[in-house]
Amino acid sequence: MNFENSLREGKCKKVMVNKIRALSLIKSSKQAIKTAKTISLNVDTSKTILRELYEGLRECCEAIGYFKGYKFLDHESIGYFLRDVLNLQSVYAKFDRYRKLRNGINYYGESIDIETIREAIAEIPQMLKTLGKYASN
Amino acid sequence: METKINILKSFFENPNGKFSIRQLARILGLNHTTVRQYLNKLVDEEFLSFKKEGIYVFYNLVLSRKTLNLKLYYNLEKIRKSNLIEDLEKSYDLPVIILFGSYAYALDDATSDVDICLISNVKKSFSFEKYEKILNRKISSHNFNRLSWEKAKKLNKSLINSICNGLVLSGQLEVL
Repeated sequence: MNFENSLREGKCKKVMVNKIRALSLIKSSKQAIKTAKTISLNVDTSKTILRELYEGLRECCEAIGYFKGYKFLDHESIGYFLRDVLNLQSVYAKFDRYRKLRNGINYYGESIDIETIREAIAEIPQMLKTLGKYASN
Repeated sequence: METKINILKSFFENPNGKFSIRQLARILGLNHTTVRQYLNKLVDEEFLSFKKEGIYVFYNLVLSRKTLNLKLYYNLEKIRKSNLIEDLEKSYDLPVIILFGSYAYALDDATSDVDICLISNVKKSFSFEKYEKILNRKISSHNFNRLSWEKAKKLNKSLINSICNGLVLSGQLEVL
């Protein structure tokens, strides 16, 4: 699968550039990351922290989409956008991993190791830094 | 394809071995005539060669690129069917998994290990026993966390080079 397929299959739509929505999403993304960082990490909070971090990451990607004129209807398409449009292979691989981990938590009740959350706390803000360059028009 | 691999299975499991029609007929549960027909076809296709020893004919694998490509497919299918990668992904929160060494090049023989590199910050023990039985090979797992992987890049270059020349079965290996 690739971004072209996502467009063809309607999993991503071409829309008008929407700076207001993009900026609002960036604000929301920053808030989500901030919230994730305020939660103390333990076995009970690990899933919540990952959900929040992923949410922040996704919102930032959605914002970039609005800056470039795309609206994503599924999370896989966001990954293809990172890889095929922004040419960020490494960010794509990490995003896709967190997407799968978050899906495991949300939809399959899977557990997650605390070390993986520690990794996400360090890695996701780094990814957002890389993505920051694209988060403007 | 499946039939071809089924016939070649004994050779892939023991690439240095030689097999007579009688042995293969017993292993495959087929009659001699059928086995002979299959073997002749595989000789024509240059996957196998044969040698007469007394009154018996023994067949052995021709280690050409063509054969190794098929053997690599066989090796990877065996790993897939064992569910080893899926189970490691579950246990280690989607780690980077790289198959390297002889098994990744299809140059393994009956005595070879299956070398796996696993990069994850999750500290857990994992029993490979079940998978070793399925794969009919011992599994050597080289585990790293992100920090020890970075250290190994500086201290154990030969191991890291071997790993980097392997096959990434899960995740993405960041070399640089």
